[in-house]
Amino acid sequence: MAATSYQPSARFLFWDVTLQQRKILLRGTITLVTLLLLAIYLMPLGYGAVTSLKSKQQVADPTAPILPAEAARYEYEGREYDVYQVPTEDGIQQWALVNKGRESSEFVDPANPEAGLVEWQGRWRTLEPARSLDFQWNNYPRAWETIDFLRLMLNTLMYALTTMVGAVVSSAFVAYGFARFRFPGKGLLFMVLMGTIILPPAVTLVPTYAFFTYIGWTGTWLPLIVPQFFANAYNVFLLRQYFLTIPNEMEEAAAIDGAGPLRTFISVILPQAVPALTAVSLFHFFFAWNDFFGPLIYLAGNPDWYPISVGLTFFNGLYSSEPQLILAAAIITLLPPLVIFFLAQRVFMQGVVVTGVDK
Amino acid sequence: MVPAIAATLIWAQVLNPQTGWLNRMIAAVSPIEAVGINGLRWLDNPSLVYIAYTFIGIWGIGNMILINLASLQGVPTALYEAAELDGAGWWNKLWNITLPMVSPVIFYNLVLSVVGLLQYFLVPFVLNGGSGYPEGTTRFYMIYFYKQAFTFANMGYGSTLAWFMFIIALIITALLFGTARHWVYYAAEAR
Repeated sequence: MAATSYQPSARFLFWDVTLQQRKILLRGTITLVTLLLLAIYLMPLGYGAVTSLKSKQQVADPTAPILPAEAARYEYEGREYDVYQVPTEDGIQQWALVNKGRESSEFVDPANPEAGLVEWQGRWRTLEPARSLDFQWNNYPRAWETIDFLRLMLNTLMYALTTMVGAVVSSAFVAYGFARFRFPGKGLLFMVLMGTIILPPAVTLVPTYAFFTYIGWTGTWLPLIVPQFFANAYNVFLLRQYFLTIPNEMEEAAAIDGAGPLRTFISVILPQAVPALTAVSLFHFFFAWNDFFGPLIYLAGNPDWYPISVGLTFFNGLYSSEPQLILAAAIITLLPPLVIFFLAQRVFMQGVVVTGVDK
Repeated sequence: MVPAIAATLIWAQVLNPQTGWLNRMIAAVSPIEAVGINGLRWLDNPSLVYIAYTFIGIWGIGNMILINLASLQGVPTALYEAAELDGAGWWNKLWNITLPMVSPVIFYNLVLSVVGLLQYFLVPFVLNGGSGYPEGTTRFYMIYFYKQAFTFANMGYGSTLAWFMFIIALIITALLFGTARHWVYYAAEAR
């Protein structure tokens, strides 16, 4: 540095390069750490996907390779033999073990069976078995059929879609009321509504359960669907925040043209609130898809009506000896929300950004 | 975004002491004998079970990351430019701009997750059907409540339990709101 200090242009160049290199180094390190974290984070997903393609024996074998594979076998003169990785003078060969011996064994080369048995010096127990990739794709249809996935899926979809429509429409109405109208006790009512966010649902569970039993709705979907048509605090809050950002001028123009509040709401407010409505709809869809406690309690004893979440839990209890089927079922379950999320990601994030907060 | 049931079922296998990847990875990179009879039995060992549940819990923070990402994107860049002109380094920018600007969202997440965790139910219920295995370490409040109210049809006792939880939730949220005055920044109030 001392040498270059009297050459301003050269020094500038020198600093420029190191700064850039340092930046690249820093970026590289950050990227590497992020990738590592990502890999750790995705590890269970990868494990689930890989294991769901294994056979039952492979899942239970602690020495099994990571990818789904079956021990290779070779049929020689009417009998099946295990294939091993045999180190020979020509490198490692995959040979089938025919006659086992302590210090030497007889193998046959599947690529050249006419050569007959080959004597190999060494202990066969030290050899690694040869394996070939073998994906058990039929785990998926098996899981699908074993737990009657179609019915679970349809139940869940029915629940998610009807409550999505109900929750979003009713919440939009309530939010519009809180955002645009003046009425006595508005502040207090809004506080009470927001208070229900903090109130644990378990507190109201016993009385609501007793009530629904009294009117004979337990064991059906009604206690789960009907309340969703009466708005909920999260959605109201989000939509209200968004409605507040919509300028008043357009509504005033609509009022001058003779539109009533309902007309204004449908033709002016809603079309401008599409990002927020999309975000709220998707949040609700994910919530309903994952909802577990409600269906568990209200549908108890009615397996025909179970949604995926509850069905999968019981499947887990019944088939604990077949982890590959459970994992296949789990992967099928997590695909729909994941696909919807990736497809709607941009609209979704936009909605989250404009509404500020979410569920 | 991954449904909690699917995530729990997958984790149950990842944590399998013999064949799960977690133990095999630990055995591969460290001298700990994770696999085997004396290996790390994540879901059977009372002193490991909470760590295992923590793994599962941390895996489910995607939603919160999403919310935080949205709020981070909402911080006006003009603030950073102004701070840079005043000679602020990255730490100053993080401490004096980013954190205060996103603190309402952090607070919101904090309150919701505390209230949510008081009702921790799904993971232990899926893993052991609410039996509290091993040695009652996973008998969480909601599990007990569910057993009393809906398995033993003990509704009166269940209601009491639920109200007790409400009081606890109320106290905790009140405390949180009390601390919020000191660290949560609301732009509207400053005006």
